[in-house]
Amino acid sequence: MKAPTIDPVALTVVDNYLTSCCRDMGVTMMTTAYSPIFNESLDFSCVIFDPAGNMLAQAEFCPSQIGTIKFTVEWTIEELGLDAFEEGDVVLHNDPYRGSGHVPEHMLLKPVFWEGEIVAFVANVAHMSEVGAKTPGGLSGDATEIYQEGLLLPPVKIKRRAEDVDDVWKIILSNHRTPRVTLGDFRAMMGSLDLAERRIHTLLADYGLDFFLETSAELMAIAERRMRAELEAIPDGTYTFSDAIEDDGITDRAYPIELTLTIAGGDVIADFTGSAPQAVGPVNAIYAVTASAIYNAFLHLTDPTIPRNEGCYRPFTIIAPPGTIVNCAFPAPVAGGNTETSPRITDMVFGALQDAIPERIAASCGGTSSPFLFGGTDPRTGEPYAHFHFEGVGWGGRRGLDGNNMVVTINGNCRNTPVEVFETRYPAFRIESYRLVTDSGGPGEFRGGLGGERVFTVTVPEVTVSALLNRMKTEPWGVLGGGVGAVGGLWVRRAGKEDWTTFVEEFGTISPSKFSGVTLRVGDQVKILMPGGGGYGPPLERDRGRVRRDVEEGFISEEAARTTYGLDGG
Amino acid sequence: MGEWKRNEISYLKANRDACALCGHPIAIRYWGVEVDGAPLMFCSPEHEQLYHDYWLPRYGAKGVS
Repeated sequence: MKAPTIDPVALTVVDNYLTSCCRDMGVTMMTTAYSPIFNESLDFSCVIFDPAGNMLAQAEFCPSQIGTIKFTVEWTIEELGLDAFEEGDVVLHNDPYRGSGHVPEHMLLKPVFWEGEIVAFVANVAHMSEVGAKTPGGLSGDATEIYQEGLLLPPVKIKRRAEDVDDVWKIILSNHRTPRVTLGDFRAMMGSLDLAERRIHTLLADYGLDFFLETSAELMAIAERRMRAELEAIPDGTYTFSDAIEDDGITDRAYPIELTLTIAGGDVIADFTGSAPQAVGPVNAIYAVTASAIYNAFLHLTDPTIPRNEGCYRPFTIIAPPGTIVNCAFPAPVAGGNTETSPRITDMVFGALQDAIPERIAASCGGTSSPFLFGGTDPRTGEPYAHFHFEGVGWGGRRGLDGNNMVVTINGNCRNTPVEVFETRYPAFRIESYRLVTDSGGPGEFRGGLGGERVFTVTVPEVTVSALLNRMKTEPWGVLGGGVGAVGGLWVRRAGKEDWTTFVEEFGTISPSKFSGVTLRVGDQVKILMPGGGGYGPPLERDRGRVRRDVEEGFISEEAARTTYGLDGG
Repeated sequence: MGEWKRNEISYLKANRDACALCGHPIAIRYWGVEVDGAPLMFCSPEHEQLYHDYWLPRYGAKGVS
């Protein structure tokens, strides 16, 4: 094995500099974008690549995007060709069948020139809150074709030599329901790229191009060596796990996912052969999403100090047969692949490895991003609005720790929108309650995190809502003797009525949690119940003091303490 | 014996070619090889090798990709 030729301190400084650069790109977007999905949710990621499309650095934003952007950038560079890039260009791309995660996620890519040559690319990817789909917000829970999921943009320049390409902007802004917000968010993304370009120029001015290139290559080699060393610590073998997406919004049938992990000598093959054919509705993952979910799982399981670059991903081969739910064929809808199927796949890796590395894995999380989308016209201003609202779930228990309560699912690393921001920015709803749900975490020596419940009331004459939630029927599983977490739910109560009903009962939707374009009116209420996480280990082995504290905190009921945890009142 | 080949990008063609091993959609460049008379496309020579070492023993030969 080749020994490092560069001072380790210098390597660390450069790695931290590039990572810090990516973090600052994110802060730029958070503070300058228009929509709460940027400002509050941080549903974006920021990355630096070399001219060959190798990822050099990333920051800790959205894990699913950090994996998919690798494929988006690779496709963009390959399709356009390096010669097509000029200084000041910015390329936009959101087409899932060319490597993007799903239609709302727009990737911007800018070449960094130095002395007339491309020496790097800076890129970000962000979830735009409105994309011109069949319903406001983009994630239409009953879409049957990708054309219903929003405006598809293959790699196209939106800036050429630092000048806006007006024709492309006209197409985008005339297809999104909220053009003012779209423009503001894109400007924030471009500002983020400009910042990264300046930072790389500073590095090159201080240390020179040769140093930058040598250091980048060495950092990738180090990351690969360290990742392989971590994988070699997992016993060689074949590990399997099965799970399913419970329905697709169009048909009331489950879509099984089959995973076979083969780990040998620092290499991993994640094979999805045997998984269900692609769904009619929008729960399909494209290849990049499936691969990203595998990367995400192993980043959870391995040393977090490994430099996060292309080298981390080299030990992995992901086999996802075309035409299946984990690698669907055009023009299948894919919106929920990135929000629902992705966390399911990541959890499945933990499930497969529960006996091999019990000290590292976790039980299933709540497994849904809980997308609830709405839009309409603001009666105060006459301006259109749209919002992609998501919720936290309980995370799975893991050795030594209970699962997180109500944190956005493990592929997202996003934040939910605070009540005050939600009510201020969007006139449609008033939040009535927002709380953790007792006994929703799977019982265990280390308990699953709690799910939650939110109730809100429509405050405008009408609002259009859509949903794309999972784990409403099948519980998040526990591991190693731990119990299941509670399922979620979605209900509506019409103005003046006493009873909560499902959207199936009230509006005739096929799925209770995946639908689009339902009109609610003033006084109607919606209740979203978010799933809990699975438990780790037998609940009877939970520390008695922790059981008592859970009762005091309201995390578990007295009855559960007695019947599930065996607390005898002492 | 395989060789690197190139697809033409066409916006008139909706379906994507995919690697015969992993299923990854192929943009332009691919590793083309004939296996038992069938032309197959791979991401790389490494995936061709895995096709022989991993895929074939488990699942048997694929048809024309």
